[in-house]
Order: sequence, then structure tokens, then C-alpha cells
Amino acid sequence: MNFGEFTKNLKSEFENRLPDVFERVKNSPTYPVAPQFQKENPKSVKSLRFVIAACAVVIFILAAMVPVILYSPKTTSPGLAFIELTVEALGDDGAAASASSDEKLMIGLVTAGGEIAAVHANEAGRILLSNENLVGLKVKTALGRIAALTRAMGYTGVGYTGAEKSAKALVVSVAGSDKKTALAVKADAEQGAAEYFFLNKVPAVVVTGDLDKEKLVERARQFDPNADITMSVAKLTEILRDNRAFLSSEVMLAYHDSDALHEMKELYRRKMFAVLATKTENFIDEVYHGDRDAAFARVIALLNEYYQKASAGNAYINGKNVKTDALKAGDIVDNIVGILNTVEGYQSAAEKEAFISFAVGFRECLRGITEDFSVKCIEGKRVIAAYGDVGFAFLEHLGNLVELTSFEDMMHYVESEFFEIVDTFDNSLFADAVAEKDKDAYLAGLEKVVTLNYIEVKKQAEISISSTITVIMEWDSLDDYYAWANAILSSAQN
Amino acid sequence: MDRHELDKYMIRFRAGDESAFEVIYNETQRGLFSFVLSICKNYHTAEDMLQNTYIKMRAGIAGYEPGSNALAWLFTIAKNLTLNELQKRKKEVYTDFDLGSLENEKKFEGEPVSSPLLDIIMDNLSPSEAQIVLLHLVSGYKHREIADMTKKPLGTVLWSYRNAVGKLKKIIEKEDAR
Repeated sequence: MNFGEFTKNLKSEFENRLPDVFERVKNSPTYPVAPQFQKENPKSVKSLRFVIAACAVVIFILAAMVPVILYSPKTTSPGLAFIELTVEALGDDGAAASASSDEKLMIGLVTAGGEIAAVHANEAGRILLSNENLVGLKVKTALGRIAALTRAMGYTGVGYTGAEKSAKALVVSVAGSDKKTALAVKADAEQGAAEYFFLNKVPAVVVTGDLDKEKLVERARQFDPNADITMSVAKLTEILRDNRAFLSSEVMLAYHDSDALHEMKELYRRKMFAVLATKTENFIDEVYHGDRDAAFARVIALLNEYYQKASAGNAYINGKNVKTDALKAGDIVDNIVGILNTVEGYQSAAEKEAFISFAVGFRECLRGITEDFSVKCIEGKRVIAAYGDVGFAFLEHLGNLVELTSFEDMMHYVESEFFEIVDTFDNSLFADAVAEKDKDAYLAGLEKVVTLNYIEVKKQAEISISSTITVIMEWDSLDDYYAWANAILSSAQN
Repeated sequence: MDRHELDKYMIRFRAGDESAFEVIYNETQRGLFSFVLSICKNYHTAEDMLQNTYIKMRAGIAGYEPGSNALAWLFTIAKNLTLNELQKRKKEVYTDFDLGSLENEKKFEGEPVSSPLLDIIMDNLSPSEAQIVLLHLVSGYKHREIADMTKKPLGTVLWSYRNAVGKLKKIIEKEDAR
């Protein structure tokens, strides 16, 4: 039985075993309760509806009065959206760095225009902001100011009255009743967080307040099944931090320099992918008048042509033959356009121009990705994602399992094919392994590189292992990883 | 059916169109079942979880936000229900779905999947790999969709998938050699 047959049989086996719960679901007593009730007791339903409506009106009136009571001077200001911007500081241990009964350094009320309308700070927050007035500032600017102050105080100024904890991360959360504005403020806060990370080297966590405590809980539960909904955000982020959790695009968790660096690269990569997508759309629209299939076919044809040329030993980059000479990743990245220039099958100058434009986007995208080769970060578990694409390209190469059923697949194919080139020629240590299509040898080659990196890094500086080593394996725990790395180091030193 | 179309049916169902539910069910049951099966690795539990997912979905349909990712929503319900079930049974199971390290995950006690090829998958792949393989090979989702639904990076999904296929191929070869 080959893999194709296995898949076919698996599908059929699965179909046969697929339970049909449709009727059971439909007949479930939990639904539809209300319609049945209505049928039997229409009067009761009517009176129930009346009571509910009356309650809703009362609640609405009361809710409307709350901001009037709390923020009466501001309620006259049009566009006040009651968006809360909360800033917390986390110490080494993940607990709040400001030892106060009120853990929040400050809570800002943000207008619909994204400006700080009012600030409430706890004692530590007041110390931090002693001469600063954040009111009227944009969220991004305000966060930058807070980060700069935190840094100016040596990271330790946030802790006070004996606590003396250093703030290792600022947690910024945004919550509000107006989702649209909250999201806009969140985007602003994320931008601010990204910028102040670079400017001030203060790690930051941005969470989206009201919509994300649930998400944090859900995420934290993946690491700690006992995570409780009643936990504070600080506690939840602590769990996540201890597990080196990465909170996808919605939440940026950057509590550690190296992690943050990686995160930034991910953001850069995504941004570059957006550029690539735009270039691709232009490519399709301008030359193929929106015909994706035709564009797709041409890309594949051009790639095939290039590979024929390359495998015949007739493709060169920086004077090096891509088939026989070892190339550096940088060679490839900087010469994607050059590669495409060597292709000869363009049907028109316009097609070539459009394709090159597409390649420029791709090159930028790839640059963002290949920088991961040298990202000196990532603890065991994280690295698998960073190397996933590369490893995938290699496995794809070995298994020849290209799936090209859609334009998206094609995009990915292009990506992985270039990865393959980068990967294959990036290091001569892999040359034999690649030539032999030997996955184990390939992995051993990578491991060797890892080891060399590790020793080199240790020679250069006493930097923590976790922040300086590139690893390729998935470790069950960080301790396992350290044990492995230390064993390698001692054997090398001996 | 793409996510926008599914979203349309979700909106219809939310508005009270019962016939839309049947479409939603038919469109999603394979994916959901393979998803929960890969987590609990027990046929009957997976069946229960599938049923409960739809019940919960129906009960909570008012909370569905039009325009959002309906599949991801359903998968989240299914995952939470299954994890709660795992918790309830006090079995030691890793729940770190995004970062791997699931090799040691234990199966539920009770009846296993009991289907030769599915058993091969359940016995030899990590839950995360089994999940991706089933969603892709059996349920026909694209890797990008799987990444979206399971909230994993695309690279991780692709990597896991290729790893899993490699393992399966070796097993098939071994079986053939016998």
C-alpha cells in the first residue's frame, strides 16, 4: 500500500466511523427551550418578556448614569468612549512589581479619538509620573513616555517602599465598551509597545482588555489546566511568561529581549508578507487582468524553467553556480531579483517587469524570514516554529509532496522553494546530506552548526544560553535543553 | 465551503433558520470529529464531544459574531469541552497544543478508536500531528485553514504535517515489507 492508497482508505474508514449526532443534537432538551415554552404558555412568555424589557430599561438607565457619576466633567466631552488603558509592571517573578494593594500602575481613560482623557495612578505610578502629564497625549505617545520613564528609573523605580522589584515587563491592556474604538486604541498601543521596545528596551505585553481576559485564561489553561478565571491578568501573564507563551497576532508578549526580538521579526515578516500579497495582486491584475489561474500557471512555468536551468548547472548567483557552489543565505536573499532575471520564458516585457516587482516583494519578505537563521533566541519549544518553514521545505524536497491546488498554495510553494534553495546552499555542512537526501544526516548537520554556534557564543561572551543559541530540536523542557547544551559544551571543552 | 459562506449560514441560523444548522453540521462534522478525536483518542468520548459541541453551539448561537471565523469558534468550543472533559476525568494530559511536546500524552481509558488505519494514526502520531493529518487528509482542510482554526503558526502546521507524513510512510513501508 502506498501513501495515496493509505489516504484513500483512511478517508473511507473515517467516513464509516463518523458518528451521526445530528438528530440527537436537534432533539437535545437544551434546545429549543424557548419556542416550546412559548407555544404552551404564550401569556407567561409575554409577561416574562415585559419583565425582561423593563429590567433592561432600568439597567440601561443605571449604566448610563455610572459614567455621569464617575466622570461628570468629561461626559460633556463628545466622543468619550470609556476605553480603559491599564498599565501594570511585572517583576522577575511575574508578579506585579509595584507592591501596592492596587496592582495597576495607572489606569487611563481614553477618548474615542485615542487620547488620554484622565489618569488614575497608584503610588508607584505617581512616583513614576511625578512630573508628567499624560492627559491629551495619544496612547502610543503616552506608552512611549511611560516606558522611557521606567527605563530612566533603571527599571527599579517602579517597585517602591521596600519592594524594590525591578520591572521586567510592562503589561498594557485596553478595555472598553466601544469595541471599534477599543481595537483602534489597542492597535495604537501595540504600535507604541513595539516602538518603545526598540527605543527603550523595555519588554512589553499588550493585551486587549475586555475581549482578552477570556483568551488569556484559555491560553493559560493550555499551560496550566488549573488557571482560574478569577485570576488577575498579572497572574495569567505570569503563567504564560513562565511557559514562554506567544500570544499570536492579537497579543504581543515580549517579556524577554530575545523573545521580543523574535517577535519583532515575526511582525516584520508578516508585514513583508502583506507587501508580497500586494505585489502579487498587482502582478495578477496588471498582467493577467485578474486571472489568478493564468498567473498561477505562469509562475509555475517560470519556476520550472529556472529549476531546469539551475539543475543543468546554468544558473549563477554572485558568480557562484547554484548547483555546484555553496551559497550563503544572503546571496540568495539579495539576488532573488537576479535569479528571476535569469529566467528566459517571459512572454512580454510587462510580464517580466511585473514578475520582478513581485520578486522584490518576495525578496523583502524572505529577508525578514531568513534573518531568523541568525536569530539568537528562542528556547527549545519556540524554535520549531522558526525552523518549521525551513524544515518543511527540506522535507518537501525529500518527499516531493508539493500541493498546488490554489493560489495560496502556490504562494506557499514559491516561499518554500526559495527556502529550499536557501536551506540547501546555506551551509556546506548540509551539502552531502542534501545530495544523499538523508534527513538524519541533515539534522545531524544542523545540530553540528548549533553546537558550533553555542561554543562560539560561549567564547565570545557570557550570555545566557537561552538567548544566544539557535537550536533545531523540540525539547520537552527547558531543563532538558540546558542539560543537552551543557553536555555538548563540556565535551567540546574537554 | 469557505469561511464566508459558512458565516452566512451561521447568520441565518442565528436568525432562526433551522435549515441552516443542517448545512453547518454537514460542513463541519468531519473536521470537528477528527479534531476532538485527536485530542481524546477515544471514539465514544469524541462522539460525545462532537454532540456537546453542537449543542453548545446551538445554545450559544446568539453570541456568534457575524463576520468572525465560525470554524475557529466551533473548534474553540470543541477544544474547551474536550479539555474540560479531560479535566473532569482527572487524566493527566498535556494541553500544550501550540508548542508541541505532546508525545507523552495519554489516551483516555476505555475503548480506543478501533479502526485499523485510524489506530495507526492515533498510536504513532502525537495528538498535534494526528490532529493536523486528520484535518488535512480526511476533512480536506488546507494547511492555512488548519493554522487558522487551531491558532497555530502555519510553519508549525506544515512542519508537523510533514513530520507526520514521514512517520506514516515509514510505517506503511514496514507493513508492506512484512
